[in-house]
Order: sequence, then structure tokens, then C-alpha cells
Amino acid sequence: MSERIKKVLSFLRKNPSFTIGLIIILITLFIAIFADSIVPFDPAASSPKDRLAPPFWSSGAKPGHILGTDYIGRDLVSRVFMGIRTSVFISFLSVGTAIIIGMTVGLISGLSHPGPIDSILMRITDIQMGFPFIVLAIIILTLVEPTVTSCIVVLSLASWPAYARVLRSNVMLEKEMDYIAAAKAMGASSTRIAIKYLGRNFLPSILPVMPMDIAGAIITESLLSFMSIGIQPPNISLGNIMADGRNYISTSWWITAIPGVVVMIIVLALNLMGDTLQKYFDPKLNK
Amino acid sequence: MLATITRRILQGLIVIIGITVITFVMLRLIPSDPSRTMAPNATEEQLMQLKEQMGIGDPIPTQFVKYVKNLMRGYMGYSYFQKADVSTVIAKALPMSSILLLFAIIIAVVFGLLLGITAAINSNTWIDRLISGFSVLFQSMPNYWVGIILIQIISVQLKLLPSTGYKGIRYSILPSIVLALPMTAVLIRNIRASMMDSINQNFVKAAKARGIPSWSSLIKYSFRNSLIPMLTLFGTQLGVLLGNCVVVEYVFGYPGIGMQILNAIVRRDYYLVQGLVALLSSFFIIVNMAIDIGYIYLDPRIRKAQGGL
Repeated sequence: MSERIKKVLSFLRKNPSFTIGLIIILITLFIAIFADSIVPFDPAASSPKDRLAPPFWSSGAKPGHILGTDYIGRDLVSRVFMGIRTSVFISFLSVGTAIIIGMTVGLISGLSHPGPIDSILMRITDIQMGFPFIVLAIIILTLVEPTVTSCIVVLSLASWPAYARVLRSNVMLEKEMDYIAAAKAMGASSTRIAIKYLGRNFLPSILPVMPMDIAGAIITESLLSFMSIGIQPPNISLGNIMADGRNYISTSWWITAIPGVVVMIIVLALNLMGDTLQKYFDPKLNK
Repeated sequence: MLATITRRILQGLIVIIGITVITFVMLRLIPSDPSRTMAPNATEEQLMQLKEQMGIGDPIPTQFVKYVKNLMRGYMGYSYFQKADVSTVIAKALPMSSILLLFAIIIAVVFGLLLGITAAINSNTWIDRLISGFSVLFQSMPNYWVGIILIQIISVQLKLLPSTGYKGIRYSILPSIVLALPMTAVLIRNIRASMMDSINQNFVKAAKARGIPSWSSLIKYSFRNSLIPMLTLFGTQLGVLLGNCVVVEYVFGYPGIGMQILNAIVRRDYYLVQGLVALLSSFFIIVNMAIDIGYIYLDPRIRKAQGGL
């Protein structure tokens, strides 16, 4: 066994909560990737005679429909799986987009500090952070068509300022270092310096935040879809399954409850991972 | 120091102006005509007249100049859908949301401190694990979903509290509990962490060595020491809280600022949306500005190293 694998294994053994989180996320990713081949039923096929069937543990459950059915008899497991696919796809991509925007802004800002470009970029960042996000999201999603792409872009607006600030302060600290001066003296281009040296410390500072941002994106995506301004039917999102169930909640609570529990489990797993990473990368504890 | 504070206030002003401009432009880009919604059967001519009355007849730049001029005179515009001045609508909705926020903050601070300190004192026992476990769990629940489930359990099944709408202070209880939950969880975790941090500091150890009981030194020294980071946390949490407030009001049909914003966006009630967005963001920005300035004032290290704020 190579040294690196041993290191990873001992990290996993020492941090059981991280391992639990990781396992849940791996299962979630598996469901998200293979959703259309592992769903037991067609998630869009209604069957009126099976409508509002309860989950398997209650009496009156219909065979096959493990988590029951919704108000027109669509299988809930299948819908939840497809919902997980949508949520995971959107939230991962939105955080990816946020990191790219944040890195670009942070790098330019940090390199041009102190100066007018830095000031302008930082005020834009402040504006983004000061704008009540949910209100901004709703305005944008009524302005443009609420598609998967527009949801990704809107959700990325929530988290890019944090990445921009982190990278900016990293760059500001690092660019005064001797080794950067040395690299400059040796004729390294500024792009090379930016990518090779200044981006170097970025990963440890964003890695702990990333899982939490993905978690936030999953919650916000499901919320926007629940408010019927996010993912629109016939596309399935965990949020619009909950919205479908809200009219029937007194009798068929599971339609709304189950997708919420799923969101909670995924978010919990991401938070557990984020917590461990935060402790791991905390400079105070590492010294 | 005065220069730093002035600069900080100027920055805050720029941000508020920026948000106002962006809201103004974005709203008017929405491809829909609010005058048509107001009067579905009107002729073109009547519509033009109506637009003029609603203050949306002119080209966008002219509208903006008029809006700013009105703002300078303290007039925030008129909500045609509510047949009232924007300031009147705000004056009606603001107390509702304030009650909600105030209750939520009180609940979160009381339970956050209580449980956070309890967890820190009993660190690594089952009590600590139970409290920490619950706080991670509550932090992971989607707020709006907790709202729906609690309405179902507490209002519909157990009939303990009213569910939606507003007919008295009892209607604020459940929404403020829902609003408080994630903040409580964050506070518990942070208070616990910063208390644990300062337990290991020398002055606490010294107090312990002198025979001062650990809980009393915890509260006297550790707690005081963890107040400054709490201040920053409050600033960032306020943004989350305001956002959640909009969501909770939506779930509970609670007639506060959040509900007004959502309705106003749906109806394209331009001036109302603008007024409410400006209100929310100014509140957030001013509080954070105050925290930053308070920080400069409180912490001598920051006061000295006044470079890049």
C-alpha cells in the first residue's frame, strides 16, 4: 500500500464524522449519476389507482412503492432520486461557478491592491453581499426564464464574494513574500506567478467552506423550487416535490416530509465534512 | 481613526446606492407590464395614462432621476396595488417583522448561550455530544421545511398555536421559533468553540490553579473573551436571519416585510419593491458598518494596524 493511501485511511479512521459524511455524499453522487437507471418506476408516470399511497411501514402501502406515491400516483422513490440528481447537479455546478468568479475577482483585486480596480471590485463584492440574496434570486428568476442554467447562475451569486475575499487577502499577503520577488527576478511572467504561487494557498482556505456552500446551494435550490420560481415541472427537484405535497399534507404528510428529510441528510453529511476539514486546516491547530 | 470611520461610512453609502440602482434597473427589465395587470381591459390610451400615474411612463433614466429627487425629499413613491404610499406600507409591515426578528434573536441568544456554555463545561461527555449533535441536525434542516412540518404538527394536529396569517401576538410565536432554530444552532456551536478555545488560555488556567471553580472562571473570563468574535458572527448571521425571515413569512403567510416584498415582486409593484429592498439592505449594511467601527474602537490591535480596511 502506498504511503498516500495509508495517510488517507488513517485520516478517515481518526475522523469518523467525516467518513460518515463522505459515505453519504458518495451514495448521493451515485444516485445522482445513475438516477435514471436505478429508479424503480418512471418518475413521471401517474397511476390514479395508486394515488397517495403511504410509505411501506404504514398500512395501506402499495407493493413496490417503498416511499409511497404522490397525488397522481407517481412513485416517490423515483421522484426523489431524480430530484437528488437535479439538486446535486445544480448545487455542485453553482459552487464551481462561484469559485471561478470568486478566484478571478479575488486575484485581480489582490494583485491590483491598492488601486482603483481593487476598490471597484471590492465595492461590487460588498453590493453582492449586502443585497438580500433571496430577494435578488427571486427578482432575477422572474426576470429571466427559470431554467437549470439560470438557477446555477443565480445560486452562484450567493457564494462568490466569500471566495473573492479569501483569495484577495491571500494574494495580498503572499505577493510581498521574498519567493515571489525571487520568481519575478528570475523572469517568471505575472500570469505564471499568479497561477503557480499565489493560487497555492487558496485550496486550504476554500476546501472547508466548499461543502458548506454546496449544502447552502442545495437548500436554496430546493427552496426556490418549492416557491415555484426555481426548477419548473416537468423537471423534478426536491423542492417541487415538497410543493406538490403541501396541499395534501394533512392526510399524506410523507410527500412533503420525505424530500425534506433527504435534503437534511445530504446537508448534514456536507456539514460534517466541512466541520472536519475546518479543524484539519485550522492553522492554530496545525502548528 | 476618524478617517477610517468616514471611509467605512462612505463605502456603506456606495453599496446602498449600488443596490438601489441595480434593483431599479432589474425590476424594469422584467418583461411584463404592471399597468396591464392593474387594468386588464384598458385601451392603449388608458394604459398610457395609468402608466403616467404609476410613475412608470417615462424612459428608465428619467424615472430614475425622478425617483432620486423624490427620495431626497423623503418620498419613497406610491404603491398602486395597495393604494398607499410606500412609507405607509412599510410602517405597517415593519413592526410585524421586527417582532419576529426580536423574538427569534432573543430565543437564539438565550438558548445559544445556555446550551453552548453547558456543552463547553461538559465537553466530551454525553451532554456535550447530545447538544452538539442536535445543533448540527438543526443547522442542516431546511428552514422552510421545518416551518411546514411544525405548522402541521403544532397547529393542525395538536392545535397549540395558530398556523398562518396574523390576528395577534400568538401568531408570531411559531414563526419566530422556526426563524430562531438555525441561528440557535450556529450560536451553540460557536459559543461552545470559543469557550473551549479560551479554556486553554493561560489566564483561565491561572484562575483554575488559584482554586476558582471552573464554571465561574468560565463565565467570568472565557465568556467575556468570546464576546468580540460573537459580534462579527452576529453581523454575518444577520444577513442569514433577514433572508430566512422572508422565507418564514412566506411559509406562514405572515404579513411582514418579507411577505410584502414577495407580493410586490410578483405584482411588479416597482416602488414598493425598491423601498423594501433599500430598507432591508440598509439595515444589514448599517449594522455591519457599526460592528466594523465598534471593532476598530474596541480592539487596540486593529486600531493600530489600520491599513486595508
